[in-house]
Amino acid sequence: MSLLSIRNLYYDNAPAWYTLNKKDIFYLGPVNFDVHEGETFSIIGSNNSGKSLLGKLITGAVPKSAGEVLINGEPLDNTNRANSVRMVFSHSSQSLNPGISVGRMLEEPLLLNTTLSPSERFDKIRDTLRLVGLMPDHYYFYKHMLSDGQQQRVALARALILDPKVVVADEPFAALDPSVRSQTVNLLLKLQAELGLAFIFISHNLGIVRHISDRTLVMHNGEVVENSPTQTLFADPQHEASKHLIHAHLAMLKV
Amino acid sequence: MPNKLYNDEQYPTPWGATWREFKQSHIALSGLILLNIFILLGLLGPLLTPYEPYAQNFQSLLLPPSWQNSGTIMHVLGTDSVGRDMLSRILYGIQVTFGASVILVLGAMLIGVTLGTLAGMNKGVRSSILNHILDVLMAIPTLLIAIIIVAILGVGLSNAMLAIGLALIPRFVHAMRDVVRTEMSKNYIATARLDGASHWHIFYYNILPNLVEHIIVQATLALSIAILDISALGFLNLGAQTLLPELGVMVREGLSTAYIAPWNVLFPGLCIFLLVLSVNVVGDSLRSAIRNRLTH
Repeated sequence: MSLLSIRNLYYDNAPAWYTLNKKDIFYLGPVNFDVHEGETFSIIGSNNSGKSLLGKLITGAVPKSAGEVLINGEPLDNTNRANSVRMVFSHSSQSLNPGISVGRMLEEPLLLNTTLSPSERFDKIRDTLRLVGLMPDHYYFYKHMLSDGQQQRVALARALILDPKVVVADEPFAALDPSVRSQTVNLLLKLQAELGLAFIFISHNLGIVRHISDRTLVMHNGEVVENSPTQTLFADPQHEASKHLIHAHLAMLKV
Repeated sequence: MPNKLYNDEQYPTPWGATWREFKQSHIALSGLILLNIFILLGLLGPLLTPYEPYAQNFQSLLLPPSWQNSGTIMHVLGTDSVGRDMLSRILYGIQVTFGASVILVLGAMLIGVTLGTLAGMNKGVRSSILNHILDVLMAIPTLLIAIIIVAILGVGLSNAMLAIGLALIPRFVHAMRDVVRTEMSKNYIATARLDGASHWHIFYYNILPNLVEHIIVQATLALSIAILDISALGFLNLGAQTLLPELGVMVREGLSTAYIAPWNVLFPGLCIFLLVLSVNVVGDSLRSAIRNRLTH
């Protein structure tokens, strides 16, 4: 029994007939895969291959056109989404609200999805801040007082505060420098070991993907072209697109 | 609630940071002090005035200010052509002009911010219709729109307030729509929506904290426009009528005796100038303080 199953997921952005500026239509799917408890699942692919979109479809940030996302066999909808599947957006200047303190940022999912009392919420926020390697004092901090690495930790804390089963992270390391990046990678591995989370990574960085993930899925032009254990994929890529990605990565390592 | 007992360090909020940046500039602080003096005079004016603003005294017509040889200390800023005390009329005039401007800006702000937020949070045809119709209105100067509205409604202070208020609404709608729209496209709104937040919750919890400062900057800019327009309509005999001690009306009345009693034009004019200057300085400094507060 898998934790998260994606069944025949389709997406297209065909506009309604009255829309004036018709954009290019992007098709995605069919996507089928399973993620097990404690597993790290990576999604790789070239630019514009639809991997970020796939992450948003899984978490529901973008509505899907057809197909099913099942969590423990139950369809994922508005009632159980926040408590089970959480999304960490790629790090940017817009990932945290500059106008409210970290405490209020972390309080929001608790306010919306739990019935905890104010003091219980405060304790939960403090515990979660400790969990991601921040201090309880950071409760009172605002976004502009935190470094990039700390901001990424806050975004992670916001995802983890509801004790989810699956965390979908879109390029969580892209904007971080190498030392902070490896700190964050280690933090994620530690959290995964402690909490038994399943992680879905969307990443360009094949080095990290190879290091942390159990299975890897390769996307190309909106289609899944390969889905195999990471070691198998890196040793023997089958599809043309995965060969391109992996050979480019290996060639860079040799230099 | 968070226990702040052992929390020795002070962490500046965005507001604290804005204030810290604001008080770096002496000009900004002087503007703020001047504006506060005007607010105090407007609130306490009736308690301070030595005479009734309407009381005519035919024993003392066109008295010069007290520091001139023929002036008396009984009328510190002199009197006008029907013997009304200038100081009392100016104190009442601040209350009328400034008070009317504040009230109409608050009204325009309430309506404009509501409409702008709705336009910003909605997408598609509805929001762009609202926006582009109001764009047309913004191309016309507010005073001109106000004169047209007064021409339809008739003269009078309340009609002038209504006219200027209506003319100011598009500015608020436009500014708020732009801010709310950029806010709505940000990732933290998407995360809040994934948490199951309603529109109202997203607005109140996530957007409003970032909106307040923009509202205040817009309101100060609108306030200076409103003061100028109220006195301009009064001066043109389209707004407040002759008896009311309104600063623009006072300038117009003083104009007929400007050669023999220039103080009748000078003091109300100076008052309008200082009011607009202080509001503009505060608004402008606030804007640059908000822009710079995160840089150091």
